[in-house]
Amino acid sequence: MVKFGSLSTTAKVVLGFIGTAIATFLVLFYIFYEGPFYLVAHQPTQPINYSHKVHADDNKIPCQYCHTFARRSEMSGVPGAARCMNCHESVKQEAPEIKKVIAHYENNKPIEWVKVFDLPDHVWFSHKKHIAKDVSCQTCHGPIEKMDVVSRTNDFQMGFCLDCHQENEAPTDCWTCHT
Amino acid sequence: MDRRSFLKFGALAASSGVMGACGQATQKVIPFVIPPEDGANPVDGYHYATTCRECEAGCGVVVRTVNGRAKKIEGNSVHPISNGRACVKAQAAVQRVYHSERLTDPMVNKNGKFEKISWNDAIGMLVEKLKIANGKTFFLNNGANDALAGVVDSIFGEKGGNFIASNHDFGHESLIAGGSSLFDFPKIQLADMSNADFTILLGADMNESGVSPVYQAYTFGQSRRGRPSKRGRFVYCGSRLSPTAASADKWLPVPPGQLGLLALSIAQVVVDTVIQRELAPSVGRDTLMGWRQALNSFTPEKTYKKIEVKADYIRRMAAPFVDEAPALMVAGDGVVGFTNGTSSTEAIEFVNMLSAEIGREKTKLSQAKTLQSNPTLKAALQANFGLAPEKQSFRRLKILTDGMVGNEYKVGIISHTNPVFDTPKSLKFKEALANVPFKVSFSCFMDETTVECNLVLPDNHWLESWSAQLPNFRPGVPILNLVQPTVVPFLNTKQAGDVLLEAAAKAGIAVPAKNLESFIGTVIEKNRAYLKDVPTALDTKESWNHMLQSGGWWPNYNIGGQAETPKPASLSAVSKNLIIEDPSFDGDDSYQFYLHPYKTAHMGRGNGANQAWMHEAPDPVTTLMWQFWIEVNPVMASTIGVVEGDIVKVASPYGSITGPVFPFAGLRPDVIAVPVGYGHTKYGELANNVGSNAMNLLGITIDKTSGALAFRSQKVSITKDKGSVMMMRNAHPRGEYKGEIFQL
Repeated sequence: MVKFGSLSTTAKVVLGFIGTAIATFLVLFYIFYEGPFYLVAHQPTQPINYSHKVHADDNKIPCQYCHTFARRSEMSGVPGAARCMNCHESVKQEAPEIKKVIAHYENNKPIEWVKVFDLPDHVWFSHKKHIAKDVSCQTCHGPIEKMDVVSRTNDFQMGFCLDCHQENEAPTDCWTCHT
Repeated sequence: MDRRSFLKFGALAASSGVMGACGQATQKVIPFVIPPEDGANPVDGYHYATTCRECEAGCGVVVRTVNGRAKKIEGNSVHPISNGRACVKAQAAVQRVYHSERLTDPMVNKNGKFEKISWNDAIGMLVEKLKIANGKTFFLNNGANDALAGVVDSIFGEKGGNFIASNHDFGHESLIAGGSSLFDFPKIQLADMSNADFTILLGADMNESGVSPVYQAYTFGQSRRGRPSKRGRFVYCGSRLSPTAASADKWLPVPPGQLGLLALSIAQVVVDTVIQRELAPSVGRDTLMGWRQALNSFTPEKTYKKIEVKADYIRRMAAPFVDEAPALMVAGDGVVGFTNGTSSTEAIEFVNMLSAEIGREKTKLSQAKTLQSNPTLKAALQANFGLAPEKQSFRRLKILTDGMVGNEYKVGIISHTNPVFDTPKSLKFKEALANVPFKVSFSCFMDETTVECNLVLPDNHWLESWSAQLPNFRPGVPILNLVQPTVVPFLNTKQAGDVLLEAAAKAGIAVPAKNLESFIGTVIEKNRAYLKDVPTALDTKESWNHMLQSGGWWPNYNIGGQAETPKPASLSAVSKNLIIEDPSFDGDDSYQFYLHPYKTAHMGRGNGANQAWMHEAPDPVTTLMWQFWIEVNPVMASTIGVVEGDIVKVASPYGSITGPVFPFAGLRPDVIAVPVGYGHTKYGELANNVGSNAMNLLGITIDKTSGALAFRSQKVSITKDKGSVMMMRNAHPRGEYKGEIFQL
């Protein structure tokens, strides 16, 4: 075995550099993924100031009127401007935010929404399967019908999923989600 | 700052940088403004049955679409041609439809520079020119027997100096003519090898570039592995060890143009055996004796020198046609590429017919599962969804070219074909086209022909189109393929059929329908009574949807239907066809080699050259990829003094090409093989300046009987040129194929 003291100065410098880099990386990794930064509610600015509260709570529009694929697919789907126009053809056309939607619709230009909820690529999640078991939207998305601006209320770590699965006697095999 | 602090800060910055790279970029969700399919599932998608139009084989395919975009294409498992399979071209069609070089808008050619114009202006221009032309319009397509061809035939016909022609795959005319003289329908006879114990493939590179590679490869596989107790045996005869030949049990390097002679020699042995054993009584002894007389000069002992196969081996190959009847012979490019292509095809079909007759009597079973459709239906479909075979010969393309030189046409309409690139340069199509005052090209891409046109009208890709198509060959059942839009067009394109119908109507020409979809629907509705297996209880819309869901119409030959075997028009009349003339070649004694231009599965005649997937797909035998090559037998390569990668020059009386040499032991020493489809100059970034165009070498030698281009009748010379390149191969130089080739 080569003792540290017997190494040349250059080797010591290189090893010191690598050691410091690894240590810093590990500290930052922990802070980033497990620490408070990750738990901060993700609340991005959207191109349209859409309010779930106005639609889902005040006007009692069912979630799946807009998120039409939720009960049929892995993804819930985000509605196109055409679906907005189903109502806004005759409702509140003068509102500034609705005018933006109308402009997108008339110019055939999609609205580029910013993702709020997301899961890593190694997790397979199906809206269809959860809705089939009557899991409410709020279980994962929080009181979204009360939000004017949507924010992430859960960290979506594995423990969050497992707690619910165990509580409801849903499968907890690895490959249930990590297929 | 001391060195230690500098290193610490450096390490901190580096690891922070790595952490920063681990973070997720802002992700966006961009939904359609108007979803292309109401209620479309964004993950599972939808599956649509349609027909692949990458070639004219007419394979049924199923397209998986998600969010209105085609994601995957696979074979339609209920379709009688594809049987659930799809070839490399069909799989890569998704790359074509979303190709970055697709034509996006109509364009007009202003002094060699193309400018975008609106569809209204483009159609207005076409209408004006059609009015002025008052007839004297030619239409040229790629040999498609589809609704567009039917509509054009209906609109323009041959009235008032109009002319219709096809730039068909070379040699198909001879396959049709050779079969038609023995059978009573003008279609290519395509053998079903599924139940054949022994098959001789005569220049038939069927698995990669045949009439229908998917169907033929399927039946090839069925013969080999589809029957638990039997394994079909295959012998390939031809100048080059093609991928199909490499899949066979034996390769016999028969000289160019002599495969028909081999067929007749086998026929002689078969007829002799039949007479000796008193088989096939239904044919009649007098007829058999007549055949023996006609075949007297084709005994193996008399022909083996020309065929270069031992007489004993010819007899061994002939034996299964009696003992294991029905055995099969399959003709391909190696037969029809010569001036005796039609008579060679006739000889081959004769042997097949005779063996089928022997087999039928031995087994008391019908060989082919064939249904004859109603003649009225056949005529109606052929009239509306295709062109008559006589309009699709190379000879007709030559007549068209001569007509252009003679200023006979005022308007030219070219649809999805590139004759400036893929016909022999000596035809001088480009120069002739310059004499036509107004040329229109319907195309998805810019190419060597489109760039010569005055008006470019971007057509929908077939995944965005309506059409009906009749396969160019006969696989045992009558088939009407339907093509439906599986994705919404995303560019400013329009379907050629719709544009032509609109323009013709505005020009005051009688049109059969307002658009292609209604044209197809009307024709089918008129003939619905003949379409067996479409439930009669369905109304018009329901039956139309029923057919679209299947991908078309074909009778279910397992349910009802009357099984028939294609019968010879008259067996006794066949004897006059039992003659093979010697092939004639173009080029004097200074040209010592036979040129063997061949299609690869991925390049076709050149339309695959603008696709990265096609370049990336290695040639199955040479394993070369992303480049052009010239194949020479290793013995000849050493005689010329070249090694792999050295640049050589191949010359004929009509031109020359250069390229890196690939010494290939699976080639006769007197043959030089060149893949076609390379050497584009105006077909996009991936295609341009990759290799040389083999068409530059060809003269115009025609099989007089069928009018087909004898595209393997050219003799060439080869010399060493300057330079050398590294050959890009996808296999170890001592890969398995090479070992087997040397053993042969």
